[in-house]
Amino acid sequence: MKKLLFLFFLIFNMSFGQNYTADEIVDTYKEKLKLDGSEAVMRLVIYDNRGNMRVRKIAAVTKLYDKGETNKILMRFLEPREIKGTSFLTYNYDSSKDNDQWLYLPSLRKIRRIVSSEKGNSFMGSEFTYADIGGIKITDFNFKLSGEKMVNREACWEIEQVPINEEKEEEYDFLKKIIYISKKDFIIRRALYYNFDGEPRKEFSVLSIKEVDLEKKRYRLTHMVMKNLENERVSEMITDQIVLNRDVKDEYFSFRYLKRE
Amino acid sequence: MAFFIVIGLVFARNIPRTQFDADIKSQLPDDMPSRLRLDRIEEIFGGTEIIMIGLETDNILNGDTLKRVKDLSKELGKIHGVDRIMSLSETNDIRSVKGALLISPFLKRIPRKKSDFEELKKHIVENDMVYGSLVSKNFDAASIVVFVEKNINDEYIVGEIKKTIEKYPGKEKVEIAGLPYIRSLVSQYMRKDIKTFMPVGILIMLIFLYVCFRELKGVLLPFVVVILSISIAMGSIRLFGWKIQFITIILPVILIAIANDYGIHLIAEYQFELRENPDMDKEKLIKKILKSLGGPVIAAGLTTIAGLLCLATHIIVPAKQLGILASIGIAFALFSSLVFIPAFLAILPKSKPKSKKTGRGSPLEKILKILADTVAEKPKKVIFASTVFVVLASLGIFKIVVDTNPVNYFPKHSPIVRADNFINEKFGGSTTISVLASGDLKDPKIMKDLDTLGKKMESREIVGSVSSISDVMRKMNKVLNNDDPEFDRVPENTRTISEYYLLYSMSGDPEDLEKLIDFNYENALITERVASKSVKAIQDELRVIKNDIEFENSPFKLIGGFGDILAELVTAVVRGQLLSLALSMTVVAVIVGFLFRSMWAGLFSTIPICSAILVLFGLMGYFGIELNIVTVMLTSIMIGVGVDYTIHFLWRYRVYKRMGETSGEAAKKTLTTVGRGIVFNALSVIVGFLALLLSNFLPVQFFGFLVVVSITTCLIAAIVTLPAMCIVFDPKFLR
Repeated sequence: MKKLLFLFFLIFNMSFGQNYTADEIVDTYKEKLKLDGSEAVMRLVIYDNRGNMRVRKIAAVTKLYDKGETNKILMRFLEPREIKGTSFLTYNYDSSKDNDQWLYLPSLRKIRRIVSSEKGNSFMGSEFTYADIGGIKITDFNFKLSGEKMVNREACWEIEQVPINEEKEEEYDFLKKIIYISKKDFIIRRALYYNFDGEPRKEFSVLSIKEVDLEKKRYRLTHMVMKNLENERVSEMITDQIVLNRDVKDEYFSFRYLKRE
Repeated sequence: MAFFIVIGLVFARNIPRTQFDADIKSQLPDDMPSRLRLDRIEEIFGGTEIIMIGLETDNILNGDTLKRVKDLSKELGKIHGVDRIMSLSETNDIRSVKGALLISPFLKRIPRKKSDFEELKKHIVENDMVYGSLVSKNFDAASIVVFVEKNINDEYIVGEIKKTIEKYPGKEKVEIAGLPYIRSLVSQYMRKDIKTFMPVGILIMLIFLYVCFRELKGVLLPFVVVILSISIAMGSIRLFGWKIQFITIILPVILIAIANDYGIHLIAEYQFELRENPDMDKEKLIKKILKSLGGPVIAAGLTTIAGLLCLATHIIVPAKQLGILASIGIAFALFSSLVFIPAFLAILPKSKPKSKKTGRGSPLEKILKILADTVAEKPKKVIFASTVFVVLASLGIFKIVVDTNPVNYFPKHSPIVRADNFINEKFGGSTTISVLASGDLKDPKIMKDLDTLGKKMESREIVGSVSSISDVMRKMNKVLNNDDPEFDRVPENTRTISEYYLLYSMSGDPEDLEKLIDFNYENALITERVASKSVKAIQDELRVIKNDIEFENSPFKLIGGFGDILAELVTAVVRGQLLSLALSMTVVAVIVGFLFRSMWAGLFSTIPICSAILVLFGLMGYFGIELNIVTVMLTSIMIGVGVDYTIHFLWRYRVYKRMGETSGEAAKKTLTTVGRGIVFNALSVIVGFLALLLSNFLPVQFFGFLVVVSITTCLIAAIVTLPAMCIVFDPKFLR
């Protein structure tokens, strides 16, 4: 019902040719990234500032629950060899509830819950954070439209994303974020993270996007780059293969399946 | 004359533009082994230098103190040049909460309730990486460790840190320690010292010269020579592209004390001849002076230059520089003394001679006469007494200690020493020794080796704390097995270790491990902090570690760190001392040999010097004065300067012998003529170096004291023992 009202609202605005508010743009962007279910093979590439490189290859399965409010993701490590079979399960909630996460360690045959209490924490040692990977918790931020800009020859809205209070600032570890969302498809193209001195600290870029759900016009960011402007480290998340699968088995997101090697 | 002044001004203009440099590393040759080891470590792990900030209060487990630690840590981390911060708020605890692994800072939230503080205390005590290292054992102090990036200016970084501390005031007492901090203070005190030494030294010199000669001529002429010498020497620093180092601060004092020597002799002789021949024409008078003094003055200058140049044998870069700069100053002083002073004496009106009839002679002349009579009558007893004294004094040599730790440059009551003691006592020290391990750091055998070494380190009294990746592994292993003490050990297979690295990277900040293990898991660094200022203790510790890391298939590649550098400096100081002693002694002997056309003269002249050296080292031992990078230079200077008295005595003695005088009579006449100039010279060196007693640094103060002792010894050797030796042995080269 909520979606229906939203859709009518969207059509109403488009009919009258009025401008969107920042909240509307961000809401739409968030919806655009939701896939009913997917299977993918990804690479996480981490470069340090001394020329070293670390590559982790991951198979991932995702599925939406609770009418789209919960996204369950299972990641299994394929490479490097010494961590092959290690699995990571996460339940990401749209609400302000903290995400649930578990890691399976094959050598110990144990599942350990991970308390990643800081959303600003590094994801697997990369320059991405859990917040970057998990999707925006809209309730944690205030959004403001601050202009328009061309990014990679794409007309984009410029939106200021500010944590709602100091506690959230600490949690996410940035003062504000400037994001650029395409007017064409409502997908993010670029973002700048500002540290507590008000200076840019990280730069996020999207190098490729793939429309995965043609029917619902849902997308996946298939090549993302995060550059740390302070220490010159760079991380890339590259999705090499991805397919839509609305019939992903619930079993994949169970502990029993997590243990399967 | 204008020529000299112009040169002086040109060089002087360079002085204000010269930079200061207190960095211990830049005092080391680029190819020094311990420096190469440190460079290799820093290439992999980034800056390893730390500045430690200690906050002291009754009990740090209170909201205000913990908030201050958190605020300071956050703010300090933003300073440009800060590599990373370790403190309660920035360091993660690894623990289990309801079956979940939690890697979270100790101070994620500032506790409010008493039970929260109790909980925090329990977590701290359970974590070896924090307890006794970031928090004192009895919880009355907390520390913040600042890792400094490579090549960051000390005064800049210390200044920024102090500003940040002032920005967050609190009731806690704050202490700062660490080599970058000490070096920044050294820089500041250097400037103070130079500002003090120049005016005080010059004032002392002026007063002294007037007391000696009682006329302005005797004051102004040497004064001008000294000022010009200092200008040229100090101005040369920038020309060579050097900086003012810690020990360069004694350069002006050396020149104030020594550069006037040649002038003093010339003027003393001028006054003497004037008194003997009041009616002699000025031109002839000056020619006579130059003829009688030219040779020995040049020889004296050359021996001084030679002694100073022997400082170039030191491994310590600043000592080389000081030797060259001082030599330049002395060379100029020698040249201008022989040209400038006689020229002015020729131009200026003749001084009024003191009447021979009215004067009974000055007190100095009386003393010299008594000495002369005593030596002439009982030369053998004099030699015997001298020998006994030298033997007794030199027994102190066995008590000498060598030290290169800059914190010992400061008096015990000074703030820096107090802060260093505080850090040593509460947090296990600020001097680091690191061991580099290489290989596959996922290999359980290597991890076990790291763990074993770390535990051995921790068991030793001198070691304040140890940080190692194996500690993290042990902690995770225990936590992941429900805190079972059985699992307080490193994992036993490769997969588990790999999974723990992954787990840490998913739960904590990977930068946490940056100082422990490299990006590719191929190099690990075990770092211990040493709670001792004694370089000997550090050397012993290095020896023990070296023994511990040498076994079959050892992953440990090298030991490095600032403790390593301090230890190698000790070896360098000793080696440099012996080398410069041998070299300067040889060169001086050769110069004197040339002057007298006899190799025996060279050997003969070294006897007073050798005696003085033995007495000097003996007294250092007795008084507990360490051999360090300042006092190590003393002998070169003493040899070069002290032999002057011998040269002047022997030269004049030979003149009288060749005039047909008996040995005893020749000795008497020599002492009562050139003896005056010799004494004036020695006293000018002594009073000149007294300025060093005003220094902010203990080694410089000791240096001043030891110069006084050594020059006094040389003087007595030259005017008491040497005459006796001449009488008793009657060497051929003096006939």
